[in-house]
This record gives sequence, C-alpha cells and structure tokens, in this order.
Amino acid sequence: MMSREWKEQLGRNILFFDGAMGTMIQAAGIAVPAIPEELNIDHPKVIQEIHQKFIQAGADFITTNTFGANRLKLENTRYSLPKIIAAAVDNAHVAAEKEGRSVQVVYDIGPIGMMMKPIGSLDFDTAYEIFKEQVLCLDPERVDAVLIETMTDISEMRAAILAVKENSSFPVFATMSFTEDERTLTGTDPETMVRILEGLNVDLLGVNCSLGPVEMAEIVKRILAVSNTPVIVQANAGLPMRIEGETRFSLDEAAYAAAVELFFESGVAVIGGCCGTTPAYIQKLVEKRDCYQPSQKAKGQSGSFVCSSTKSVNLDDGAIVIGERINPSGNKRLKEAFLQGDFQFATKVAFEQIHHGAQVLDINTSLPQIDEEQVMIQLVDTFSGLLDTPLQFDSVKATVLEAALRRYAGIAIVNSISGKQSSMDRLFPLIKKYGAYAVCLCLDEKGIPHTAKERIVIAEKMIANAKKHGIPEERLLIDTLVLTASAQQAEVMETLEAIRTLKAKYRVKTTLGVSNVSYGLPYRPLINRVFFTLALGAGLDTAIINPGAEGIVDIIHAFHVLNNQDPGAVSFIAYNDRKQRPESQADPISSKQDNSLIAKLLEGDERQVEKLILENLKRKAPLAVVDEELIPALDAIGMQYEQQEIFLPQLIRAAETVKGAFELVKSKLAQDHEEFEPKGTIALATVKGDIHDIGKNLVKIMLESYGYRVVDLGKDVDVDVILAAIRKHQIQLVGLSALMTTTVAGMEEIIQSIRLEFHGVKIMVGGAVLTDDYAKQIGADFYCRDARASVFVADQVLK
Amino acid sequence: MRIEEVMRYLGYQNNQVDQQTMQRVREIIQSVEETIVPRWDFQSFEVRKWSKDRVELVDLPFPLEGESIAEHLQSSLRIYLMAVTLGVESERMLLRTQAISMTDSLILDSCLSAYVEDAADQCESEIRKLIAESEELTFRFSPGYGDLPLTVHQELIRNLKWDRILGITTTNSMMMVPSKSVIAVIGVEEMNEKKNKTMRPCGNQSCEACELQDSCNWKK
Ligand code: B12
Repeated sequence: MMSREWKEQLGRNILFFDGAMGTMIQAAGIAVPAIPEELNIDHPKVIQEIHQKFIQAGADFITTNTFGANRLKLENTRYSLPKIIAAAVDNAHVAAEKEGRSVQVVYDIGPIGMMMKPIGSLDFDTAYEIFKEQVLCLDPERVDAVLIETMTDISEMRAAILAVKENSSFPVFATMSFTEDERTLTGTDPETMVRILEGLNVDLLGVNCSLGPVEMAEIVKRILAVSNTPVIVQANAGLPMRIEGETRFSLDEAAYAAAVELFFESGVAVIGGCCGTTPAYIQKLVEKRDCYQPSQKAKGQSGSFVCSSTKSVNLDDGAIVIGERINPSGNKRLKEAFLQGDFQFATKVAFEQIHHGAQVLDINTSLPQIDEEQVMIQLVDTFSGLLDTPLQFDSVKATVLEAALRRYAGIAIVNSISGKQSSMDRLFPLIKKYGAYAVCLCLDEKGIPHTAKERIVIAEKMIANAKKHGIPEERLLIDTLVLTASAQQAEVMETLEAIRTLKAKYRVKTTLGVSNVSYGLPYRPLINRVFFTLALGAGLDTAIINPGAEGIVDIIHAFHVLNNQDPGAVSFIAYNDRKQRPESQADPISSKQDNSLIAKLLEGDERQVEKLILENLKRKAPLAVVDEELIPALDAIGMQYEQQEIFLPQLIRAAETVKGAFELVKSKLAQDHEEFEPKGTIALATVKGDIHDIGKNLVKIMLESYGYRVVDLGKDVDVDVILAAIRKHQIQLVGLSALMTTTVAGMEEIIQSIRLEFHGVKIMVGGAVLTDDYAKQIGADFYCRDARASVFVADQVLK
Repeated sequence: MRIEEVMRYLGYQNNQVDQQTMQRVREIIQSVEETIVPRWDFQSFEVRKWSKDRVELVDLPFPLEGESIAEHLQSSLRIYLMAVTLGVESERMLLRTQAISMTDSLILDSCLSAYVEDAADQCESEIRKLIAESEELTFRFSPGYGDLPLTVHQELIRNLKWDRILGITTTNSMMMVPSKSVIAVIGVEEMNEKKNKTMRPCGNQSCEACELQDSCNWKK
C-alpha cells in the first residue's frame, strides 16, 4: 500500500495492524530493560526483526516501539526523548525497506502513567504538554499516523488527541481499554467514548488490550452501533494465565482468529492484536482478508447526546432540566465560596440540583472580583469525573468558554451564541472544534425582535451560519427568548409561537430560561409553572431552570405521561409514590426525648437544632448565641469525647451540625447588615508523600465547628502550594499532618520554607508518627495529639 | 467487610457504639459493597540473589532494596508481589461524600480502608491456595514499611502492568492513586522455618519494629 492510500482502502477492504510489541520483546531472548523504549537504540535489530515479522505476516500498519516514550516514563534513561523517538521510527522504516513492502508507519502513544485531576494530580495542560513533546519529535515525512492506545481515562485521551491535532496533521487513531463490566477503568462506557472521540474528529476509534476477543464482543457491538467513524479493534490473545511465573494467554492463533471473525462480519474496519498476539496470530487473520468485505455498516445511531465522561444524556428525550443554580449572581454563599477559592460548596449545589432532577448543569462563574477563566477551569476539574451529569458552560467571554471546552472530558453545551456576526464568528469554530452543542439566542445587533417571525429569521441565519462551519442543526439549542410578562406581556406568546415554528421546520433543539417570564411579578412560581407547561406543549426540549423550584419536576413527570414518553406512567407513579412517603422517623431506640442542644447536636438533628437556635436568636444577639450556646455545647461534647463516653463519629456529627447552625447565625447577622467574622483562617495539609488524610479531615471539621475558616489544601501537598496559600489568605496558623516516617523529613523542609518566607506564622503538626519531641526537633510550634487539641492551639494563636 | 474492623478505624475500642452511627455504618458498608468491585493481581518470582540489604528477583529488572525487606524475605526462595485497588469509583465516592457530609465521609473512608484490607486478604488467600502444603506465607510487607522505598510502587506498577490491569498510578511523590490501593510483598517459606509469628491487626508482625509506638491506635 502506498503512503496514505489506506484512506481509500478503508471501508473497501479490512485492514490489518500488527500485534504485541511487548510480547515479542519478552520472547526475543534478551534481558528486558525497565524502559523497553531503550531497545530502539540499544538493540535496534531486535526491534526491526519484530516489525519485519509482522510485515511478513501481512500487517498494513506497524506500530513503533514508543508506548512509554514520554518525559515521565523516560526520566531515568540515558537517552533523550527525540533520540529514542527517531530511532523507533527509523526501526520501523528499516524493517519496511528490508521487507520491500510499503506499510504505514504508525507512531504509538500510550498513557502517561499518572491519574488526571481531580482524583490524581496530573493537570490537563501538563498532560497536553507531555504529549505535544512527542508529537514535535515526529517527522511528517516518516510517520503516517498516530495511534493513541490503551487509554483508560477519556480526559487523558482528549489531551493526547488535541496535542496531535494542534501540532501536526497526522491522522489520529484512538483506542481505549475496557474491563469486563464494559466500562473503562475510569468509568466511561462505549457509547460515551464514541461520542467524545467523534466530537474531536478522530480518524479511527475503537478498543484494545485488557480483554480477549470473546470478552470484547459486546463492547465492540456497542461501539459499532453508535459510531459514524471507522472502528479499529485490537484484542489480547484471550485472558492472561500465569503459569509458573510466566504470563500466557488463553487463545492460540486459530482460536483467536475464529473469535475475531465476528468482528469481520459486524463491520470493524481495521483489526490488529494486543498483548500475547504474535505474527502467527496476525497471519491467521490476514489469511481471512479475502473472505470478507467490510460489511457496509449502517450509519451510527442518531440522537443528540451531551456527555460527561461517564454518561450520555439524549436531548431528544426532552424535556431536559438544565440546573441554573451554579451562578454566583443571586447566590451570596456561592459568591463567597468562589472568592475564597472553595469549590466544595459548588459541588454541594450541584448534587442538590441533581437530586432534584437536573440532567445537565449550567455553570456560570462571572464575578467581577475573580479571574473568571481560572475559576471556570477549577470547577471543570473539580466536576470532571465526579459528576455524572453533563455540563453547560455559561459565560459572555469567549476565552472562558474555550478554556472550559478544552479541558472538559465530555460533550458540553455552550451558553450562549447570539445572532450577532461577531459572536458567531468567534464561537462557532469552537463548537466545531470541540464537538459541542450551542445555545443560540434569537437576538442580533439590533437587539431582541418583538415578533416570532423576526426571531425565526435570526434563528435561521444562525442555522445557516453554523452549517457553514460544519455544525449540523441538531447541535443547536435555539433560545427563542422570553421577556418578563410584567413589561412585555404581549410578547410571551410570541416566544412559544417561535418554538412551535422552529420545531416544525428544523431538527434544532429549543431551550428557554423559563423563570425570566415572571420577573417583577408577585407569585412568581405560579407564573413560572404555567409558562413552563405551555412551553413544553409548544415543543420545548430543554429548560434552564431551578430544578428545586416547586412543581417543576412534577410538571415534567406529568408531561411525559401526556406526551406518551412514559409508557404505563411507570416513572410518574414511582416518582410521586416516593414523594408521598413521609420522611423516615427518628430512630425509635434513641428516642429518649432529650431535647437539649447537646443531645440534638449529637444526633445531628439539623431541624431541631435549627429550631433551638432560632428560638435563641429571638432572645439573644447572634454572637451571644454562638458564645453562650453553641461553643459551650461543643465544649461539653468534647469533654464527653475525652472521657470516651462518645466516639469520633458522634463528635464529628456534632461538629458538623454546629457548622450548619453557624449558617443560621450568619444569615441573621447579614439581615442586620453585620458581617460574621470568622475567628481566623487556618491552612491544613497532609504533606507531600502522604495520602493518609483521615486525621487531617477530622482536624478541619473540628476547627470549622469552632468558627474558624479552614483552607483545606488536600493530601500529598507540595510545599509551593502551602506557601502560595499562606500568601493568598494571609494565614497565621498552618496545620500539617503526616502518618508515615518517610514524610517527616519532608515536613521539616516545609517548616523551614515557611520560616524563610514568613515571619510570625505558627505551625502545628499532628499524625501518628509524630511525638512532642519529634515535633520540636523539626521546628514546629505545636504538637497536637488529636483533632481537639488543634482548637486549643487555634484559640491561643488567633486570639 | 467486617463491621468491627470499620469501627476500629473509627476509633471505637469496645462496643459502645451509638445506634445512629451503627445504622449509618451499616448503610455505608452496603453502598460500598454494592458500588465497588475490588480488583487485584499477583505474580510469583524466584529470588535470584539475597543479601543483607537487597533482594534480586529473576525476571524483574530492579532489586527490592533495604534491610527490612531483606530480613522479611530471609527464608524465602520464592515470593509473590501483589496489588489491590478499589479503583477510581472509590475516590469519586469519597469526593462526593466530602462535599455533602463530613460525618459520612469519615465513615466512608473507614469502610473503604477496611474494604481494601479485606480485598488484600482475599488476594492473599488466593495465593495461599497456590503454595505447597509444606509451605507457609510471610505477612504482607509494603513499600513504606521499614526502609523499603516507596519508589518500588512505580517500578512494580510499570513492570507488572498494574497500570493497565488495575488502573493504579503513582503521583510524583510515589503515592498510589487511587489512594485506596495496597501493594505488598509476600515471601514463601518452608513450614519448619516458621517462627512464632503473631500478626498484628495493622498487618505488621510485631510492634517492636514499628515507628508508631504509643501513638498507634491499634496497639493494645
Ligand atoms: C487507614 C490507613 C490506610 C488507608 C488510608 C486511608 C486514608 N484516607 O487516610 C489505606 C488502606 C488506603 C492505606 C494505604 C497505605 N498505607 Co496506611 N495506614 C492506615 C492506618 C491503618 C490508620 C491511619 C488512620 O487513618 N488513623 C486514624 C486517624 C484518625 O488517626 P491520625 O491520622 O493519627 O489522626 C489523628 C491525630 O494524629 C491527629 N492529627 C493527625 N494529623 C494532624 C494534623 C494536625 C495539624 C493536627 C492538629 C492533628 C493531627 O488528629 C487525628 C484525630 O484525632 C495506619 C496505621 C496506624 N496505626 O496509624 C497505616 C499506615 C499509616 N500506612 C502505612 C503505609 C506504608 C501505607 C501504604 C504506603 C502501604 C502500601 N505500600 O500499600 C499505602 C499507601 C497507599 C497509597 N495510596 O499510596 C504505614 C506507614 C509506615 C511508615 N513508614 O510510617 C502505616 C503506619 C501502617 C504500618 N503497618 O506500618 N493506609
């Protein structure tokens, strides 16, 4: 095959990849080094011969020996990255020349070996840079395509794809590994993978490694069912069996070929092997080449799917609720959290909305005092891989939207693009590049037109413009815009009329910010509910709305019955049954009716505590409630803990409940236009090299319950992060935790660094490896035996 | 997983658990057992060369270094290397719970810690089935114990493909992610070599060798 000719062959003939490089290296009879990529330079012959054997077997594509050729994995080698990569590509070419057959040389990229945020520490941009370094080493004349394989994290996969696409014009082949439960190790299902990879326009997509062809069959079937892109499969030679210390695989060549036949029949375009597949395996496959034409596989399933990394939501299954609550304007608590760089509260708001029935979450981070882009990035990182719910990015700044789209491991919605030429020119290319959906506002340079007709004109302009950018109309969510009935009463029905017309003429989706309709009116929820119901009737697909608002989700469930979307009204009935059920009664065993604050705190009975505090607030000044009620109750509970009358979970539950009570006091103070000043701010970290964070988390909650603000820096924390936090929050007290002997030295270094830069910052340390003496030795100011001790230290230092 | 073990992580020593906590622990144990599938892998290696401060293995391109691991394996000609993980879902559960309730997240963390130890026990019992009747296993010795360096994590993960098989990775400080993961070295010894080894609940052989001493809440 001539170079690039494969593109014409694709779909006409089944094409073949090679098999397992690693397996062949192990069988080559040389000592396998810890970094197999070194062999490209140290034993080029060995690598060339492996390539040759696969070429002889009939492979059309051969893969370079570069699976681990990244900066991190090559840290301890004598050779530079460019040298190793050049040698690897050379070896493939030498093999092809020796065999006298033109094959495609495919540069191989494997995972970096670190976990992406928020679970791991690898940042998207760092991952991108690591992949980019490799791509920049490639000579366009000598490499025909890039294969990104064995990925288990779709987020890392995306970083790699973007690195290749933005720094070269190589075709991109992308394959991920799945487990028997038909998800990748980080939870992506086959359909979602296909959608995300297609969003980035890869040339081939599919599955490799981890499983044999038999175990993979169902996964391949699911991929084929939804993919519009040619599919590649590289299965292991069955399942690994460890026999006498050696790894063997369960299928021989014949059995493998027999199992793989299913893929030939079902429409897979490119087939190769993974772990355990030698040239003999590939040869057996190639022998069958002529028996099969790649079946003209049906086009992938239709539908309009937005995705998180672990879930796809079909917008065609309307009405879809897009939760609007992550928006600092109108939410003081969230605003405060954003200002402090705290994203836990946003996570809480996210879960509340999901609990109420949101299927997509809108994220808005616009606040004048913050770096909107930075906060957006951090929110995307926090939510990625944590929430199943797909996201909608909401900003007027294109840079913010682009930053979010770039690192979001999913298919998002952009909110919003208007009919202004400048908006379309700037944003449609981004929608195309990242495979996103777009909320399109029916307004242009002249503002919002009054009539449905005029709004449709703008919508049609946007549909046409999107098409020019290669964006199909299914990807547009047209917002026909509703203005408040208090001012523009005559136009409310125009909004609905526009929805009806658009739905009849186009395959676009529609969306509305429903609650705008009642702005300035009394009894808003009622107006909202009626308008929402009417809009659903008009064909509204998605609503940007507060899912917790009364009746909203009720309406959707009822609507699904009437709109024939809920056969047998099954989910309608289940939903309402659930709602009718009374809140579970308090544990009868413990109902010894002690109604004191202490008892209610220990039970974590938020409602009773709230009642007690509200009563107190009628009689006492807010701060007196704190000093005379809450803190003494906590102290008493602390004593019970010291006496071992109660144990950690109860102590923590009480502390957590007190935190809730603080919120009440705070809002009372806010009513009186007073600020609740936290007693002081403390930074906490489990130091670098340690992940044992249970102890640190306990310290955090204890301090918070006593009215301190805690900046929680997490676990395995770098000294730089600690120093930056001290600077940013003007910290006076730092708490460090370590449970491993290996990290005590690191703790000492951190203390020294803090002393070097800051005067007067006090440091307390804790964790099972430390003692009073040890703490002194490493230069700490305080040693804390347990979490409660930290409160005494804080009281002393931050008085 | 055993509820007593979870209670121990939560700091309970006897049976003074309040009903409310007990109930919550039960619920969380159930959701952990429903949601999380522990995964593990192990592989056996012959000892090629033993010396007082390092152990070299056949087919492993790096030695296990340190006096403590050498002592641990002094009577072993063959060893097992094992890894266990609760996977990314355990991390997600933790992050989610942390945003909602600290009390629950504390209980969850303890359940997960007990669960990963449980899984390590199961892995070990699979290994136990493979050894001869005349043989006995040492306790599980992990990187980070004694002077066995944590860098062993990364070397083993790459070499035994535990990144691919189990999804375990390391941070640049050599901690494992997902954090609910355990890597351990088990020696195979002849039965008669067996000294009077009482295992501590933490997995250590005795408290003498441990740095924690009085600060340990396992020691009694
Ligand atoms: C639970 C646990 C785990 C859990 C971690 C759960 C988590 N999120 O933290 C799991 C099972 C995942 C785990 C894994 C490992 N662990 Co571990 N683990 C433990 C164990 C059994 C208990 C720790 C604990 O949570 N105690 C309960 C809490 C509440 O107590 P605490 O942390 O001491 O905190 C209290 C006080 O000290 C104080 N405090 C603590 N910090 C601070 C800070 C400040 C500022 C203040 C004021 C107070 C304070 O307040 C707290 C409440 O009162 C200990 C053994 C032990 N006896 O300590 C081993 C232990 C810490 N682990 C150890 C090791 C080596 C590991 C591994 C590296 C082993 C391996 N190679 O697989 C792995 C690492 C995994 C990874 N990801 O890389 C060793 C460390 C050895 C050493 N060199 O010191 C220990 C000591 C066990 C042993 N047998 O030797 N582990």
